Amino acid sequence: MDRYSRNKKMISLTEQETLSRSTVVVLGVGGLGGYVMEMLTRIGIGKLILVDYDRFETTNLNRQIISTEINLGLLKVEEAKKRAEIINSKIEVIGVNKKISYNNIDEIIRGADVIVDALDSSKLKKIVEVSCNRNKIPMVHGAIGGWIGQIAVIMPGDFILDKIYKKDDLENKLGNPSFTPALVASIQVGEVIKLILNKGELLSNEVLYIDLEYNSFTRLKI
Amino acid sequence: MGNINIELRLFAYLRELLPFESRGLKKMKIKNNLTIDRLMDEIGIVEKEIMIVMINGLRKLDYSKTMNEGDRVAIFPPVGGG
Repeated sequence: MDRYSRNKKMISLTEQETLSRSTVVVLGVGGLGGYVMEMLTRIGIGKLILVDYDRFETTNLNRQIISTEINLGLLKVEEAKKRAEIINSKIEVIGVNKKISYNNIDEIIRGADVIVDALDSSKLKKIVEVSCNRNKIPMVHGAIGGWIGQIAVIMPGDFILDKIYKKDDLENKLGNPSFTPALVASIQVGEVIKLILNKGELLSNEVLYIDLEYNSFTRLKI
Repeated sequence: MGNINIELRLFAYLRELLPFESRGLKKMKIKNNLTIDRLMDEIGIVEKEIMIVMINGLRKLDYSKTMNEGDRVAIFPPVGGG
């Protein structure tokens, strides 16, 4: 059976081919990025560029899907690449073991169709937003803290992160459980697919703010 | 100087500033010259500057503004983890 046969009905053959010709950059392969990588690999995005500079440690095990007791101490991008390759050998996966900065972000994202922000620093997220705008690439922003998740699609020309993060770096005092990143990553991947296939309605110029403790999903026109 | 009624909705950990039963929702009577900034002080919000404040669905960045009768005020702390 065709590996993508269960994608059919919602993704046509032509659309599946479009996905296989697409390049997505996943910035950060920790909590959010691990799940994002997993889903993009399985759905059949043709080229994935995974970016992180960190190594797995014990505190990642509660949520980061790629971390296991066996790969502690190893590079996140290398482990993510290995996992992607054993899930789907039909796609190309590139691991970039770098911390992103003003100096290297343009060369990392250039040529991509969509950028996924799975970073854990609002300062770095803003650097990415500026670069995406300069390179005219849409960015799917995601962030979590405790029971809270937020998602937004930032189209070239839009700047919303300065309106969300008024201070350069936000202290994470809410913690990082397993289920919030999985949920936010799923919504991010849905937005990536809609962007690439030009389908449905995007979360652009607004932020979806999810408070799972009270099951509230609020769309904020910020 | 009169009073006005507003509906306040708090999200995430800000809900803890209101009684448990309220689940983050409170109908309040406030002075009509109370600014958004002073309202946040009264509620007990410390990090006012990082908050996303929405009134009737519109983002408010200028906290020196006052509110109107029937306003729905919602305050969200942004998150940045990954």
